[in-house]
Amino acid sequence: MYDDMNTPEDHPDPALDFELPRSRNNGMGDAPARHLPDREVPVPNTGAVSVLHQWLDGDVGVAVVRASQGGNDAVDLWTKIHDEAETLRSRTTPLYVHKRIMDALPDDKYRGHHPWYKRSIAMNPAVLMVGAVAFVAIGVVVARMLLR
Amino acid sequence: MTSETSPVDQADLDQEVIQRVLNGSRDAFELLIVRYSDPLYRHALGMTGSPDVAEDILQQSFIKAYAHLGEVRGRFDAWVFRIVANACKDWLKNIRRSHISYEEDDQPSSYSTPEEELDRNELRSDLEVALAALAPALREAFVMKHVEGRSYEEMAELLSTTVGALKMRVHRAREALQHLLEGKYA
Repeated sequence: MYDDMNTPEDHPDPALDFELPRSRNNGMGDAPARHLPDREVPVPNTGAVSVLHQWLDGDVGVAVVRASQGGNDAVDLWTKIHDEAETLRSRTTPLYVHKRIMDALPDDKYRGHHPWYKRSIAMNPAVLMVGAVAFVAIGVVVARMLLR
Repeated sequence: MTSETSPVDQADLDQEVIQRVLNGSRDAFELLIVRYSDPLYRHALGMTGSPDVAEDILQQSFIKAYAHLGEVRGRFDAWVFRIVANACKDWLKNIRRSHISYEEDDQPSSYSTPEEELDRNELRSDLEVALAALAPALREAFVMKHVEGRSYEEMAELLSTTVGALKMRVHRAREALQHLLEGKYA
């Protein structure tokens, strides 16, 4: 159930780093964006944190988290985040985007996209001439081979 | 990604549509757009935080999918998801974001009072800033788990990695978000 915590520390997932928020006047701090090494990500591997992850993964009930130290605050925070995520989950593609995509597709990308042996050949004097020359050439080659 | 048919049936239906497109029926491609645009749009929106960017990524990804449709092997939905996911990660790595534009969102509000909407807008803004602080792969894992509501197994299949690695990414993302947000909201 918790096999991810068995990942050896000396083989870190290269994805596991993060940067501070970019400058923004929103009460979240104005520190310029910079990358932090993975060890600066707070990973207090306490029982409360483990229980929190188990709850967020749907493995235990909320009462278990609330019973842990600092659990009520964590539950309140993650309930808010979850509500926000639910809002995002209900979003749908604006309908005009479908039309925009269709309008942007090339018109003839797959028109005539058939194997050469299935394609029809329109007959015209040039095609007939090429065909005739090809037949004559093949005939000459075959005749020479037979006369040797 | 759809609920009415099993993944196997859906894959067969997709293959039929793909064949029609390859045979010259350009309009049939719209069936694939309608079928898969919503989850892909949500992924792009969760990854970029911007409806405008999400729309652009969706458009570019479907155009790319159309151009390479003859190369689809296996499930179309997984294939096109990877195109979108890579486009999102490229955007996150390359773009110099001067703003995050949830504020530009013009979808109707569902909140009952202006105060509630104000609070939610503030949380949304702060959450977006906190998500922007995550490495793209952590953000991707968090968005797939908590916004798109996917299982770890489904995520592993789509991202061609292990459940263990994804759990680690999600846990790291949660811990980083909690660290960034708890001072204000907990």
